[in-house]
Amino acid sequence: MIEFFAMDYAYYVYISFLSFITVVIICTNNAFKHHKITLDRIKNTIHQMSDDNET
Amino acid sequence: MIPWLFISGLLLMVYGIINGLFYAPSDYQQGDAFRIIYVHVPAAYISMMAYSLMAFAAFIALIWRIKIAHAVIVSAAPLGAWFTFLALLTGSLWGRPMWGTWWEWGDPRLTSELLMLFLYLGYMALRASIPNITKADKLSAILILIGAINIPIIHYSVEWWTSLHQGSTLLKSGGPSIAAPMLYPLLASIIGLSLFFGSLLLIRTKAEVLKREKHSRWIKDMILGDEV
Amino acid sequence: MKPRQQRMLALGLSAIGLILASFLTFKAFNENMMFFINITDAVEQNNIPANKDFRVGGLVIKGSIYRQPGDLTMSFALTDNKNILKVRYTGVVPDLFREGQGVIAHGRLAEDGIFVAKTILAKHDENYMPPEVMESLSNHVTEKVAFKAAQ
Repeated sequence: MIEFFAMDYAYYVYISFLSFITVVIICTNNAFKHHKITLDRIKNTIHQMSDDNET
Repeated sequence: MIPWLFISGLLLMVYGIINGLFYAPSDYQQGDAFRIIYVHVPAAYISMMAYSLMAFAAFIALIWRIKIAHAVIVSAAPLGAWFTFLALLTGSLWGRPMWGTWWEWGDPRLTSELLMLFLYLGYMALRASIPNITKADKLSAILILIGAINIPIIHYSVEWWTSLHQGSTLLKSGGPSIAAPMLYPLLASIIGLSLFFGSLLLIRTKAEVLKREKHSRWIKDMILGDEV
Repeated sequence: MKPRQQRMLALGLSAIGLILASFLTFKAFNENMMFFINITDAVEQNNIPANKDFRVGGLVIKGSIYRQPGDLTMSFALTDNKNILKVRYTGVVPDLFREGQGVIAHGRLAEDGIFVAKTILAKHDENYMPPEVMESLSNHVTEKVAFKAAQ
């Protein structure tokens, strides 16, 4: 295993890896958030519709 | 299916990145800077795979009028755009120490990859500008199909023209020209990111289909069924 | 014809048209898409833009690098294994600028036939291996060359 800071061009390498991890996290977060928001919205409309029917 | 893809993809990526970053030997010419390959190549691969998938879905959607194909295109676009951006960014971070430049206008590989980022963004902008969903589906699918011509250009740009970018390492005749201990983490991160991409694409597509079918009976049953 | 087949035909025809159109465009712009020109074209002055900077790419000849003492000015020679082009450059070179390495010089030809570069970029190839492997490989190659010479 190589030393963490002894790497040549360490900044370039670490920034690339960090940006990769960041993009993966952003995409994951967006996907789950998008899914949750859609589900919540549909639930709301359905509840609203059933409330409308009762009144 | 989704959790399985998600977890196996994540594990493979972690394996690939840790091994690529710390355990793979350094390169005979590039030293440790070559380690950027473990994030650059998977990102670039996904950027092109996502577009190819979208073009394939657009073709099916236009000819057979299959609605779910449009949902797939819509869901893949933001993911593809992010990974295209990442491929350009990591490529730039690799180019600075090795080639001596962050960016070169006029290089066919660099320019065609940038064009693909604009295709992704153009697709999303076009959709956003058309309120009618059926019309937006149709026009944006046509845009994706026209842009598909860029995919072979990106891939063969380094062969057809002279370029600062080197040729393909993995997909060359005579097998990959990379030493085995360097190759395995690379394959792991490529396959891992593909599985991971697949899981995110499925989650997004599921949400997109739910959104499009929100007035249909089965969705109502499914969601109310969940709550009971 | 069914509507689906009509759509297929329409899409197919437009796809063929598009491919043809882009093919012709590329043919026309082929020269412009080249990021650099090779040494032979530069030396023989084929398709060289007049009074404009252009890029030329080749391998740095072993032993040709000469650095002027106390200055960042240097000269070296590039080859494509057919012709040789002398290059003069003042500035910092990338780390990968080495003997035998592929480099791209951006500048123009001076009247004495020397290429005056404003920027130097280094190319690297698509081969990745640990230094030890490279050493054993080059020893192997040297042996082969020696073997051939002996014959």
